[in-house]
Amino acid sequence: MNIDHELRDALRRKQAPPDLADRVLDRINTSAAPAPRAGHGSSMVMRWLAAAAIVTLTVGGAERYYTSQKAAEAARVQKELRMALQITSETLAVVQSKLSQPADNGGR
Amino acid sequence: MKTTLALVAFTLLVPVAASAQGARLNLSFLDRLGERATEKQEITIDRSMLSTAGSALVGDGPNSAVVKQLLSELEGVYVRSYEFDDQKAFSMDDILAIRKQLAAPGWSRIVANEEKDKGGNWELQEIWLFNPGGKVGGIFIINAEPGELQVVNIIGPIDLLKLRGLGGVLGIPRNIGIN
Repeated sequence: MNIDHELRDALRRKQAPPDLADRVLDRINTSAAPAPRAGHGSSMVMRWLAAAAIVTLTVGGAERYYTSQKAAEAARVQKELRMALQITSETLAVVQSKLSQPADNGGR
Repeated sequence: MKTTLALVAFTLLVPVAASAQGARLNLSFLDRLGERATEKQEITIDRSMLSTAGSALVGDGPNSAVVKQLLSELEGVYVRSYEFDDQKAFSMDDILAIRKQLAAPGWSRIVANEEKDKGGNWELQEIWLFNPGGKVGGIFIINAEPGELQVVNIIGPIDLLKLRGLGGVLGIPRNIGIN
Protein backbone atom coordinates (compact mmCIF):
# COMPACT_ATOMS: atom_id res chain seq x y z
CA MET A 1 0.00 0.00 0.00
CA ASN A 2 1.47 3.29 -0.99
CA ILE A 3 1.10 6.54 0.85
CA ASP A 4 -1.52 7.83 -1.52
CA HIS A 5 -3.86 5.02 -0.59
CA GLU A 6 -3.18 5.45 3.11
CA LEU A 7 -4.14 9.12 2.94
CA ARG A 8 -7.31 8.44 1.02
CA ASP A 9 -8.27 5.77 3.54
CA ALA A 10 -7.57 8.05 6.52
CA LEU A 11 -9.45 11.03 5.12
CA ARG A 12 -12.42 9.08 3.88
CA ARG A 13 -15.73 10.56 5.18
CA LYS A 14 -17.23 8.34 7.86
CA GLN A 15 -20.70 8.44 9.32
CA ALA A 16 -20.77 9.66 12.97
CA PRO A 17 -22.08 7.19 15.54
CA PRO A 18 -25.79 7.80 16.25
CA ASP A 19 -25.22 8.51 20.03
CA LEU A 20 -22.41 11.03 19.46
CA ALA A 21 -24.59 14.09 20.17
CA ASP A 22 -25.88 12.59 23.46
CA ARG A 23 -22.39 11.69 24.59
CA VAL A 24 -21.08 15.20 23.84
CA LEU A 25 -23.96 16.82 25.74
CA ASP A 26 -23.41 14.47 28.69
CA ARG A 27 -19.71 15.39 28.75
CA ILE A 28 -20.53 19.13 28.69
CA ASN A 29 -22.96 18.83 31.59
CA THR A 30 -20.47 16.82 33.58
CA SER A 31 -17.70 19.43 33.04
CA ALA A 32 -19.99 22.39 33.99
CA ALA A 33 -20.68 21.00 37.44
CA PRO A 34 -17.53 19.27 38.59
CA ALA A 35 -17.68 17.17 41.67
CA PRO A 36 -16.22 18.91 44.75
CA ARG A 37 -12.63 17.95 45.32
CA ALA A 38 -11.52 16.66 48.64
CA GLY A 39 -10.01 19.45 50.88
CA HIS A 40 -11.28 22.36 48.77
CA GLY A 41 -13.12 24.02 51.74
CA SER A 42 -10.13 23.94 54.02
CA SER A 43 -8.00 25.45 51.25
CA MET A 44 -10.32 28.49 51.06
CA VAL A 45 -10.13 28.92 54.84
CA MET A 46 -6.35 28.83 54.66
CA ARG A 47 -6.38 31.48 51.96
CA TRP A 48 -8.58 33.76 54.04
CA LEU A 49 -6.42 33.18 57.09
CA ALA A 50 -3.30 34.03 55.11
CA ALA A 51 -4.90 37.22 53.77
CA ALA A 52 -6.01 38.21 57.28
CA ALA A 53 -2.52 37.55 58.63
CA ILE A 54 -0.96 39.72 55.91
CA VAL A 55 -3.39 42.56 56.62
CA THR A 56 -2.80 42.29 60.37
CA LEU A 57 0.98 42.31 59.95
CA THR A 58 0.86 45.25 57.56
CA VAL A 59 -1.41 47.36 59.77
CA GLY A 60 0.49 46.41 62.91
CA GLY A 61 3.83 47.19 61.30
CA ALA A 62 2.62 50.53 60.00
CA GLU A 63 1.23 51.46 63.41
CA ARG A 64 4.47 50.45 65.12
CA TYR A 65 6.50 52.45 62.61
CA TYR A 66 4.24 55.50 63.09
CA THR A 67 4.53 55.24 66.88
CA SER A 68 8.31 54.96 66.79
CA GLN A 69 8.55 57.89 64.37
CA LYS A 70 6.34 59.97 66.65
CA ALA A 71 8.44 59.07 69.70
CA ALA A 72 11.63 59.99 67.86
CA GLU A 73 10.11 63.31 66.79
CA ALA A 74 8.98 64.04 70.37
CA ALA A 75 12.47 63.27 71.68
CA ARG A 76 14.03 65.57 69.09
CA VAL A 77 11.64 68.40 69.93
CA GLN A 78 12.25 67.92 73.65
CA LYS A 79 16.00 68.17 73.11
CA GLU A 80 15.61 71.33 71.01
CA LEU A 81 13.16 72.87 73.47
CA ARG A 82 15.51 72.16 76.37
CA MET A 83 18.35 73.80 74.44
CA ALA A 84 16.18 76.80 73.48
CA LEU A 85 15.07 77.40 77.05
CA GLN A 86 18.62 77.01 78.29
CA ILE A 87 19.91 79.60 75.80
CA THR A 88 17.01 81.89 76.75
CA SER A 89 17.78 81.61 80.41
CA GLU A 90 21.50 82.12 79.87
CA THR A 91 20.87 85.15 77.65
CA LEU A 92 18.64 86.63 80.32
CA ALA A 93 21.42 86.01 82.84
CA VAL A 94 23.90 87.86 80.60
CA VAL A 95 21.52 90.83 80.29
CA GLN A 96 21.01 90.81 84.01
CA SER A 97 24.75 90.79 84.73
CA LYS A 98 25.34 93.63 82.25
CA LEU A 99 22.66 95.72 83.89
CA SER A 100 24.01 95.06 87.37
CA GLN A 101 27.48 96.28 86.40
CA PRO A 102 28.51 99.82 87.54
CA ALA A 103 26.89 102.48 85.40
CA ASP A 104 30.20 104.19 84.50
CA ASN A 105 30.33 102.32 81.20
CA GLY A 106 27.30 103.96 79.71
CA GLY A 107 24.99 101.06 80.50
CA ARG A 108 21.56 101.50 81.98
CA MET B 1 -13.16 104.57 41.33
CA LYS B 2 -11.07 101.42 41.01
CA THR B 3 -8.10 103.25 42.49
CA THR B 4 -10.19 104.36 45.45
CA LEU B 5 -11.42 100.83 46.07
CA ALA B 6 -7.86 99.50 45.87
CA LEU B 7 -6.68 102.09 48.37
CA VAL B 8 -9.50 101.25 50.77
CA ALA B 9 -8.76 97.53 50.47
CA PHE B 10 -5.05 98.16 51.03
CA THR B 11 -5.78 100.32 54.08
CA LEU B 12 -7.97 97.59 55.55
CA LEU B 13 -5.58 94.75 54.79
CA VAL B 14 -2.37 96.27 56.14
CA PRO B 15 -3.46 96.20 59.82
CA VAL B 16 -4.73 92.63 59.36
CA ALA B 17 -1.36 91.54 58.02
CA ALA B 18 0.48 93.34 60.82
CA SER B 19 -1.75 91.73 63.42
CA ALA B 20 -1.24 88.28 61.90
CA GLN B 21 2.49 88.69 62.14
CA GLY B 22 2.10 89.51 65.83
CA ALA B 23 5.02 88.78 68.05
CA ARG B 24 6.74 86.53 65.52
CA LEU B 25 9.79 88.21 64.07
CA ASN B 26 11.47 87.31 60.80
CA LEU B 27 14.89 86.00 61.82
CA SER B 28 15.93 84.92 58.33
CA PHE B 29 18.18 87.96 58.13
CA LEU B 30 20.52 86.12 60.48
CA ASP B 31 20.98 83.15 58.16
CA ARG B 32 24.05 84.60 56.48
CA LEU B 33 25.62 85.20 59.90
CA GLY B 34 25.03 81.56 60.69
CA GLU B 35 27.06 80.58 57.65
CA ARG B 36 30.06 82.38 59.13
CA ALA B 37 29.66 81.13 62.69
CA THR B 38 32.04 78.62 64.22
CA GLU B 39 29.33 77.43 66.57
CA LYS B 40 25.63 77.89 66.10
CA GLN B 41 22.29 76.83 67.48
CA GLU B 42 19.27 77.54 65.31
CA ILE B 43 16.11 76.33 66.96
CA THR B 44 12.60 76.71 65.60
CA ILE B 45 9.75 75.25 67.64
CA ASP B 46 6.16 76.02 66.68
CA ARG B 47 2.93 75.45 68.58
CA SER B 48 2.33 71.91 67.31
CA MET B 49 5.83 70.86 68.29
CA LEU B 50 5.38 72.41 71.72
CA SER B 51 2.16 70.50 72.27
CA THR B 52 3.95 67.30 71.29
CA ALA B 53 6.86 67.62 73.65
CA GLY B 54 6.21 70.43 76.08
CA SER B 55 4.46 68.73 78.96
CA ALA B 56 6.50 65.53 78.65
CA LEU B 57 9.66 67.57 79.10
CA VAL B 58 8.88 68.53 82.67
CA GLY B 59 9.06 65.96 85.44
CA ASP B 60 7.76 66.29 88.96
CA GLY B 61 9.37 68.95 91.08
CA PRO B 62 8.74 72.10 93.04
CA ASN B 63 8.59 74.32 89.94
CA SER B 64 7.18 71.79 87.50
CA ALA B 65 3.62 73.16 87.68
CA VAL B 66 4.82 76.66 86.86
CA VAL B 67 6.94 75.43 83.98
CA LYS B 68 4.17 73.21 82.59
CA GLN B 69 1.79 76.15 82.60
CA LEU B 70 4.44 78.35 80.99
CA LEU B 71 5.06 75.83 78.22
CA SER B 72 1.38 75.11 77.61
CA GLU B 73 0.74 78.77 76.88
CA LEU B 74 3.60 79.22 74.44
CA GLU B 75 2.94 79.38 70.71
CA GLY B 76 6.49 79.33 69.47
CA VAL B 77 10.14 79.47 70.49
CA TYR B 78 12.72 80.72 68.02
CA VAL B 79 16.36 80.87 69.06
CA ARG B 80 19.50 81.78 67.15
CA SER B 81 22.85 81.58 68.91
CA TYR B 82 26.13 82.16 67.08
CA GLU B 83 29.76 82.27 68.09
CA PHE B 84 32.49 83.57 65.79
CA ASP B 85 36.26 83.37 65.78
CA ASP B 86 36.39 86.89 64.40
CA GLN B 87 35.52 89.39 67.11
CA LYS B 88 34.10 91.70 64.43
CA ALA B 89 32.26 89.08 62.43
CA PHE B 90 29.09 91.14 62.42
CA SER B 91 28.10 94.75 62.76
CA MET B 92 25.11 96.65 64.01
CA ASP B 93 23.84 96.81 60.43
CA ASP B 94 23.55 93.03 60.38
CA ILE B 95 20.96 93.02 63.13
CA LEU B 96 19.28 96.25 62.09
CA ALA B 97 16.79 94.38 59.91
CA ILE B 98 15.43 92.63 62.96
CA ARG B 99 15.41 95.71 65.14
CA LYS B 100 13.39 97.54 62.47
CA GLN B 101 10.60 95.01 62.97
CA LEU B 102 10.45 96.03 66.59
CA ALA B 103 9.22 99.45 65.50
CA ALA B 104 5.85 97.82 64.74
CA PRO B 105 2.93 98.67 67.03
CA GLY B 106 2.76 96.58 70.18
CA TRP B 107 6.48 96.27 70.84
CA SER B 108 8.05 98.12 73.73
CA ARG B 109 11.61 97.97 74.97
CA ILE B 110 11.87 97.26 78.67
CA VAL B 111 15.63 96.77 79.02
CA ALA B 112 18.47 98.24 76.99
CA ASN B 113 22.21 98.32 77.40
CA GLU B 114 24.60 99.49 74.70
CA GLU B 115 28.31 99.95 75.12
CA LYS B 116 31.04 101.14 72.77
CA ASP B 117 34.73 101.46 73.44
CA LYS B 118 37.45 103.45 71.71
CA GLY B 119 38.65 100.35 69.86
CA GLY B 120 35.40 100.16 67.93
CA ASN B 121 34.05 97.22 69.91
CA TRP B 122 30.44 97.42 70.86
CA GLU B 123 27.87 95.32 72.58
CA LEU B 124 24.15 95.43 72.93
CA GLN B 125 21.63 93.84 75.25
CA GLU B 126 17.92 94.44 74.90
CA ILE B 127 14.64 92.93 76.04
CA TRP B 128 11.45 93.80 74.18
CA LEU B 129 7.89 92.89 75.08
CA PHE B 130 5.04 92.53 72.63
CA ASN B 131 2.03 93.71 74.58
CA PRO B 132 -0.72 95.12 72.39
CA GLY B 133 -3.60 96.22 74.57
CA GLY B 134 -1.58 95.62 77.73
CA LYS B 135 -1.51 91.84 77.30
CA VAL B 136 1.91 90.28 76.79
CA GLY B 137 1.97 88.22 73.59
CA GLY B 138 5.67 87.68 73.13
CA ILE B 139 9.21 88.60 74.03
CA PHE B 140 12.38 89.37 72.14
CA ILE B 141 15.81 89.16 73.75
CA ILE B 142 19.08 90.03 72.08
CA ASN B 143 22.61 89.80 73.35
CA ALA B 144 25.30 90.95 70.94
CA GLU B 145 28.91 90.94 72.06
CA PRO B 146 32.17 90.80 70.10
CA GLY B 147 32.21 87.38 68.46
CA GLU B 148 28.91 86.33 69.97
CA LEU B 149 25.23 86.81 69.20
CA GLN B 150 22.11 85.39 70.82
CA VAL B 151 18.60 86.17 69.68
CA VAL B 152 15.47 84.79 71.33
CA ASN B 153 11.90 85.28 70.13
CA ILE B 154 9.23 83.61 72.24
CA ILE B 155 5.59 83.82 71.19
CA GLY B 156 2.89 83.60 73.83
CA PRO B 157 1.79 85.20 77.08
CA ILE B 158 5.18 84.79 78.71
CA ASP B 159 5.97 86.16 82.13
CA LEU B 160 9.60 87.09 82.71
CA LEU B 161 9.30 86.16 86.35
CA LYS B 162 8.04 82.72 85.36
CA LEU B 163 11.19 82.24 83.32
CA ARG B 164 13.02 82.10 86.60
CA GLY B 165 11.02 78.97 87.30
CA LEU B 166 13.00 77.23 84.59
CA GLY B 167 16.07 77.27 86.80
CA GLY B 168 16.78 73.82 88.18
CA VAL B 169 13.94 72.18 86.26
CA LEU B 170 15.15 71.61 82.74
CA GLY B 171 18.81 71.10 83.42
CA ILE B 172 19.21 74.86 83.58
CA PRO B 173 21.36 76.28 86.40
CA ARG B 174 19.20 77.27 89.33
CA ASN B 175 20.81 80.65 89.93
CA ILE B 176 20.12 82.29 86.57
CA GLY B 177 17.15 84.28 85.44
CA ILE B 178 16.15 87.80 86.25
CA ASN B 179 15.22 89.47 89.50
